[in-house]
Amino acid sequence: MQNLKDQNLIRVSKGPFFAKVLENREISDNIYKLRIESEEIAQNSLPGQFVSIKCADLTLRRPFSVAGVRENSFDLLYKVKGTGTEWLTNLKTGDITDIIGPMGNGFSIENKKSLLIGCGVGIAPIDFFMDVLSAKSLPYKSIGCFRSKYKNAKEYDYHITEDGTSALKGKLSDYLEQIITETATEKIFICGPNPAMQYVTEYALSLNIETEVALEGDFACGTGVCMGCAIKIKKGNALESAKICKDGPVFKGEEVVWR
Amino acid sequence: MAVENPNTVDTSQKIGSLLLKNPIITASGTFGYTNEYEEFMELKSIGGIVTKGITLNPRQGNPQPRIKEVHGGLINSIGLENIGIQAFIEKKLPVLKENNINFIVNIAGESPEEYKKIASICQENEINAIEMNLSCPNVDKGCLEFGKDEESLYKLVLEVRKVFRGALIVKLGSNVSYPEKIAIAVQNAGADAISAINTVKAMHVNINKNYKGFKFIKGGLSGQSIKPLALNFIYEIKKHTNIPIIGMGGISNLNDMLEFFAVGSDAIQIGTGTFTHPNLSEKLAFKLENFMKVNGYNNLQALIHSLRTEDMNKNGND
Ligand SMILES: Cc1cc2nc3c(=O)[nH]c(=O)nc-3n(C[C@H](O)[C@H](O)[C@H](O)COP(=O)(O)OP(=O)(O)OC[C@H]3O[C@@H](n4cnc5c(N)ncnc54)[C@H](O)[C@@H]3O)c2cc1C
Ligand SMILES: Cc1cc2nc3c(=O)[nH]c(=O)nc-3n(C[C@H](O)[C@H](O)[C@H](O)COP(=O)(O)O)c2cc1C
Ligand code: FES
Repeated sequence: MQNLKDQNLIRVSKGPFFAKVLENREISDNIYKLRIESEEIAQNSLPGQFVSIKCADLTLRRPFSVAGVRENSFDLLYKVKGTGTEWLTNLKTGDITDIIGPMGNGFSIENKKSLLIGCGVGIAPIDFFMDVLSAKSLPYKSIGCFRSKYKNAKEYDYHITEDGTSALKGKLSDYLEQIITETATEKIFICGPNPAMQYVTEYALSLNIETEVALEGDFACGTGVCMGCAIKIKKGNALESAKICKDGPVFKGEEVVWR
Repeated sequence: MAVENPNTVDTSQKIGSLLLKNPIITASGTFGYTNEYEEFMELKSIGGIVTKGITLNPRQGNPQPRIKEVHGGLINSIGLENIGIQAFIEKKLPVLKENNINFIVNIAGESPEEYKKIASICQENEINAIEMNLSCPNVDKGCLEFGKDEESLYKLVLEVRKVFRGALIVKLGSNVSYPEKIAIAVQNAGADAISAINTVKAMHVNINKNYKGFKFIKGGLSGQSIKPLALNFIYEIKKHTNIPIIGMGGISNLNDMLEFFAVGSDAIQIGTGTFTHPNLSEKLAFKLENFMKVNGYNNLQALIHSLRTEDMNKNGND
């Protein structure tokens, strides 16, 4: 079975899956953790990939990064923003969700001294990535940056908060240089708001450190067919069109044209 | 209605020379170029697919933002980003053929000459069916402009008809003053079918927090909110034409589909509905067949005939 899958001889379905909610609770201010039962998604997801959920009677599905997996379930971390995420907060254990995924391309898994950075709810794919690298005994350090102390179970090597409720008070930029030196970073992986990703990418580039960033965008199809999320990325000297949902959401930092 | 064998129903439909296993087709711009949705459904379960709109040269499309969800649908401003007809022929056509997909190539041009050129290339490559997009609201030049006045439209379709021998479908939009004149022109020019409607010109407005000024996005509206417009458009053009009509606009369930048959459609397309449910077209194919079995229609014509029999011209509520 596994073999046929690898050789692309059988079609791996991406759903829609009608999957049971196992847990849905607020773990930090306005940030919820949603655990959903689905062996298919749990087994096939890589850090950086996302799933799309049908929320209420909205026309468009809402994309969320996979934040962790077990044998037959996976987690999402979502921040309440509008109609869709508000609706998600009402899901109860046992409710059935309509989900497709995993979609897109995840982070590269390499044996390099990696620095994983998650800012705000951008921590979701980073949490998953930490699990995967740990399981493979690959070297990494992690940074979590938040406005206020983030009460998730995970321990980050560097927990930065703007209000100083964690050990490190301030902003990512206050500590980045020191952390990179301390950890002898060879590659950086980041998910967070665009300005943070741009700052890190440009700084890393100046030190010749490779980066991979997980981008967000306004999706319609979320499957690569509508060109709704298309952006320009740099390939050598040329600009090429790329779809965040299909060619990303993870891109090499140096390829991104920051707006 | 007498049923001969309740276990087999004939859902097939014919659009010009194009044979469809069932009347359900996926709409241009919402299903990719080829087998992109294989991960979600059995492509052979539906009548066919329409490719993303293809132009003579590759197009970059419009800047971001391109998508805005609104109540009951979405506004898109993709601007026909596509790989161009050459790349389509080289890279996508083989995939369509290998996978035995029944497909219609949607084409768009900036000038009548461009439409003619693309259509000739389609003919040379033995493509069975094309859909001329004469109604895209998201490009500066061409497209919608040709679809607006009946004389230039007639000439354009006539020219394309001369070079393309397969099933020629002309796609219209509701952004016109006299739908029936346009439809008659298309029929007179020798098109095999009309498809309608394309997205509807629309705008989303976001007032700035300090109430000074606003931001907006303009584009084409699609999805459930345009269904009433689409039904009316088809009902009106049906009165004046007798070539097949492929209806679309916000179809999201079996009942929507039946409504489109009732007002004059012979087949339907699913667009935005695929974004909500990636396998919607497959589900509707299954539901249609089941509906026909349960209600004793042994072929699609019988169902369509029945839907159109009574009260075709009556105004009123249930
Ligand atoms: C690949 C990917 C992965 C993601 N992963 C996660 C994740 O792990 N966790 C998470 O919490 N979120 C994630 N997101 C973001 C998440 O998808 C959105 O927050 C969610 O879709 C919001 O849906 P909503 O219906 O609640 O909000 P909406 O009602 O759609 O809008 C949210 C808010 O943003 C505003 N808004 C909407 N569109 C725009 C716009 N174009 N410009 C400016 N403001 C706008 C609205 O006014 C509203 O206040 C991810 C997004 C992508 C693309
Ligand atoms: C994102 C998007 C892209 C589209 N691109 C095209 C296109 O390239 N050519 C075309 O003729 N119609 C295009 N359409 C229009 C659809 O094919 C269809 O006519 C319209 O969306 C109405 O149907 P719906 O409400 O089921 O989506 C596009 C629609 C959407 C939403
Ligand atoms: S959202 Fe449709 S291509 Fe990415």
